[in-house]
Amino acid sequence: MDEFILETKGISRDFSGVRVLHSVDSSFKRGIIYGIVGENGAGKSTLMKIISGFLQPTEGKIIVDGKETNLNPLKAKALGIVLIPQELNLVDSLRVYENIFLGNEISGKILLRKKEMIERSRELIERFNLVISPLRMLSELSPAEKQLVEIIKAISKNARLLIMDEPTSTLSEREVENLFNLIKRMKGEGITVIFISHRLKEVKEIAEEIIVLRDGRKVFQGPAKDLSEREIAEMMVGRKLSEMYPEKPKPKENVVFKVEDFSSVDGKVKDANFEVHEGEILGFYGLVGSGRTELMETIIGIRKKLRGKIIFKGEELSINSPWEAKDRGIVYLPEDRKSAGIIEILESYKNTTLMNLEKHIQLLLKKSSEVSTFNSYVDWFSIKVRSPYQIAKTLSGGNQQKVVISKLVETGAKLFIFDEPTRGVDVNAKRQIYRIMRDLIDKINATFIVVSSDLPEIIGISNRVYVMRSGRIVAELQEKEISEKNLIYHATGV
Amino acid sequence: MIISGILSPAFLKVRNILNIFWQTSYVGIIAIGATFVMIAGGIDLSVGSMVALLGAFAIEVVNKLGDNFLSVLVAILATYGLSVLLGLATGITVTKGKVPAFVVTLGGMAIYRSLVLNFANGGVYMSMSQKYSSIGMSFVLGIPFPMLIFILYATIAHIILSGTKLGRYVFAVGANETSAYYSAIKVDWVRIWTYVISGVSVTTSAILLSSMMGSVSSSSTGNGFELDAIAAAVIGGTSLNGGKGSIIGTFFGALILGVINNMLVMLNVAVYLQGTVKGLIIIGAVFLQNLSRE
Amino acid sequence: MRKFLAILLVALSVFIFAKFKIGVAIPAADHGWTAGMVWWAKYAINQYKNDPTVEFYLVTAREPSEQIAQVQALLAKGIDALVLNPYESAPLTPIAVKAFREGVFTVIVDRGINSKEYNTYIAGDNYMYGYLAGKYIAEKLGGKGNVVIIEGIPCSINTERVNAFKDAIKNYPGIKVIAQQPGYWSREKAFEVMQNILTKFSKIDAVWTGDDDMLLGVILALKQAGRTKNIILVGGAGEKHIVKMIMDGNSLVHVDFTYPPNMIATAINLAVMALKGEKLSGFYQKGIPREIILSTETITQENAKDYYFPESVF
Repeated sequence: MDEFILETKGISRDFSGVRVLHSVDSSFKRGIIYGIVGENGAGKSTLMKIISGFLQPTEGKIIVDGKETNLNPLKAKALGIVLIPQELNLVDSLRVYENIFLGNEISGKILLRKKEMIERSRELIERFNLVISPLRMLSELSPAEKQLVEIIKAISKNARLLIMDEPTSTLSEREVENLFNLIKRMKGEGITVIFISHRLKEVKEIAEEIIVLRDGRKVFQGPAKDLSEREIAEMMVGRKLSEMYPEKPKPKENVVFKVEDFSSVDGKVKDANFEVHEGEILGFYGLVGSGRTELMETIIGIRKKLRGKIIFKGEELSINSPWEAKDRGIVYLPEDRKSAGIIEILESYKNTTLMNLEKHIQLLLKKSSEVSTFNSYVDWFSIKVRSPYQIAKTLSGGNQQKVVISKLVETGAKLFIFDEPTRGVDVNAKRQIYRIMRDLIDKINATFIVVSSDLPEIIGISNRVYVMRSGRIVAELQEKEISEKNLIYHATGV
Repeated sequence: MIISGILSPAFLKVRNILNIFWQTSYVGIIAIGATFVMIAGGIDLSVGSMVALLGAFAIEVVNKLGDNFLSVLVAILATYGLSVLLGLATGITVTKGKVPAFVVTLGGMAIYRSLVLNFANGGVYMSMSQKYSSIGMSFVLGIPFPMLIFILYATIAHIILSGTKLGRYVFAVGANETSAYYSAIKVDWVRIWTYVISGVSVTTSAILLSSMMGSVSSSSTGNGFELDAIAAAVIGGTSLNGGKGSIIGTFFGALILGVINNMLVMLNVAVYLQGTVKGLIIIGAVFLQNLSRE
Repeated sequence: MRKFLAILLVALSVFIFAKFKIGVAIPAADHGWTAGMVWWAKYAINQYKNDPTVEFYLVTAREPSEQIAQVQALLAKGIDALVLNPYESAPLTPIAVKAFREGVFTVIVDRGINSKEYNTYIAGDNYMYGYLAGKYIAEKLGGKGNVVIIEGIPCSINTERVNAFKDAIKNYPGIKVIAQQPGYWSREKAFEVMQNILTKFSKIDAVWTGDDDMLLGVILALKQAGRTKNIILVGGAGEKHIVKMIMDGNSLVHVDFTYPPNMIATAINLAVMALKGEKLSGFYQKGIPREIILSTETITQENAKDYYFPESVF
């Protein structure tokens, strides 16, 4: 019988009374590569933090090497369980070997044994066929190389179970390949790897076994090779993909918004040309750093424009700030809700009315008018809120996003640029947000530009998609051409 | 001790209560301006020196123009004008110049004080005008004029902060500057306005103070006002991180400070220990507030 | 050759017209009295503006470490005499001693240093400053009454004066100190404190303030409360507005006691006389005296005009 290196039995976890993990059973064998998939908020990170000792389970037990164990970070480390978080734990101002041995220095009676550490680092690096000098400063390395250093660091601590949280999100195709080779070599040495990613293609490529989490529950654990990407995606969202997304809108013939030869001063956007039809949902896809967000921020006047034209409803516009954009009827939903979308410490209704306070002024601001506006959105968008005065911070991610959307709708804008509209939002709220968008098209004649890294989403809702790479628009896909394969092909260029 | 003080007949005399209001009004009015700055996420350390500068300016203008109603009016308007300019300069340096508010206003504190010292050679600015001096000492319906202005000022400030677009924007900017900017709010101008409001508040206080004293000491007038004003706001629930606060809170925060000062004298607390008593009460007040919030 | 001659000429002229360099280091003006000292230092230096044999460097400091640095810079300039009003005694002692040992004629003003290694020390009389005020009030009240003390910033000078004041009234058991509070040598603070004291006590017979600045604040509070009758007011240090009031026979203030900021001017003169080898008239001895404690003088209506300097800032 295969021995399990680690098992979880009935693991649950509450955060301030809300259960985010429901009785999860899982098991991990020696030398196997596991892929863990699930939507944002499905409980992946929570589960991984429990396995690596950073969080304690509210209920359930963890069994390591057949023995029930109470884990804490130190104990997990001693047992060879290492978590590599998305934000790497490396120090830019130190050298590679110093980072590898950070907190684990080899030292003589008084002084550190530098030579020995450098030698050991070199051995480790060569063992995995990598080419990084132990003496280089970390700050000189690329993100991919840093990732590799982080892994070497883990291995240097005799890791037996290595958990990687979204390791590929900032890597190029070739770097991903490098990483996968390294993972395979680790498997060869008997190390168990847990790989978390939202890119199903990658998960299918590297993982032997897949665990699917949805809304805090494990819904599947089994071999990867029998599943298609679509099947995995459907398990993640818990319904047929077709139910997830509303029927796509039917855009009108006329071009309502057009961008010509658009470049930003910082060089992040180069010669962009595109157009949007009235009532359309236009998708923008690309890898991280491909310039999608930067293009939108330049349009909205947050980034400085180098040259180019914006034509909206047949009129050429000059927009140099978000307020000029707002006045012209163009609004932007930023990618990072917490830091740029919602204002957490304000009451919910004040978030909704923030961009159109004029409507509520009768000499002074009239609270009752603000509240009734807010309440109309509570009904329309099904916002779950105890009272209009509830502090926005205490709303769930999905409800916060709905409040932010209500704020944008309040401006009376007609063109909505949504950047990652469903990031960090649960499945249900996601469905609702797609329906809200559809509703806005039907009711107020809205038009959408949607930037997203979420492949099923971009495929599920867009009428057309532009793909960006290195600051340029490299492809335009018509509705029937939109597929995961096409999108990734154009986004990566290989 | 405090309770016994409050219960003592001397404390409860109407005259004493009026005195507390009166003495509080100078720092209180400044604290109201500071509340705007702090809610928007800034800080203004220059207010103490600015009191001396603006008070001296008003006195000198009246002295130049002669002892009549018109010259007093001109002096007051000119002082408000000057404070608006100083507020604009501070605000623009902070926002457009991207110099931290702490640094700009710390610099302002040193600059204003040294200018006042320089023009007076370290001495005193004396008002030669009876008309001017009569402002700060006057009573309206038996209430000291500064107290009346303090209450009026707080009322107007409360309306601005809670009932106007600017007020709402001040909260939004202090709570989350990035979100406010993405929400098409002219963040820089909102912050600049808060420094203008602070400057106008300082002028109000400076005119009341300098007209009452009939003089401004270049070295000591306004010393420590900045910290008292910040303390009043914080006791009143204004967050040092921005986004939270109220005028009502600051109003009572300032009064608490006034009561403490009054109590120290009423109970004849020994000189060396006065700081300890004051410090403990300030920390305790904020501590109690946090407790009640949880 | 001509160039060489020119340089020689310049070098010679410097040698012939060699000046005595005198450094004056005092605290910056942070309240009325120190402002007065700065004004008098400038005044004294100005006396010598047509004297080619002396040259002055005046520096003011806002804290002890700044003053130390300033004195170091003065020594580096090669001064012949140092007139120093130390910001604080202990921290300034080493640098003052160093100056003395380097042969610089060292005059310590008002606040002493913790060493005897100096040439001359000149100071006011803190004890008599407080004592005379206490004695005056006690006698005026006929040995019976309620007295309020409004003192300055808590520090050793202030303590010495307050203790002396209490020494003087000790002989009169009928005199009671009903309140003792700090006014921090500030007019506004003294006003505020006096306002509060006035509401607490219905009968106050005399008020002594640590200096005249605070007395002005107290007078304002009394006027505002309408309680200017039957009260004896004494300040100190000879601030010009108070001196003027005495001179004009004002009903509130009749007397003042000096603690003259112009001691700095005297100190500067002493330094110049020492460098020039002059002696004090009336003294058979050649040198400048080692220690001079200026007497506290009583200003009354008769002599007030001798103490009134309208152009001074204090």
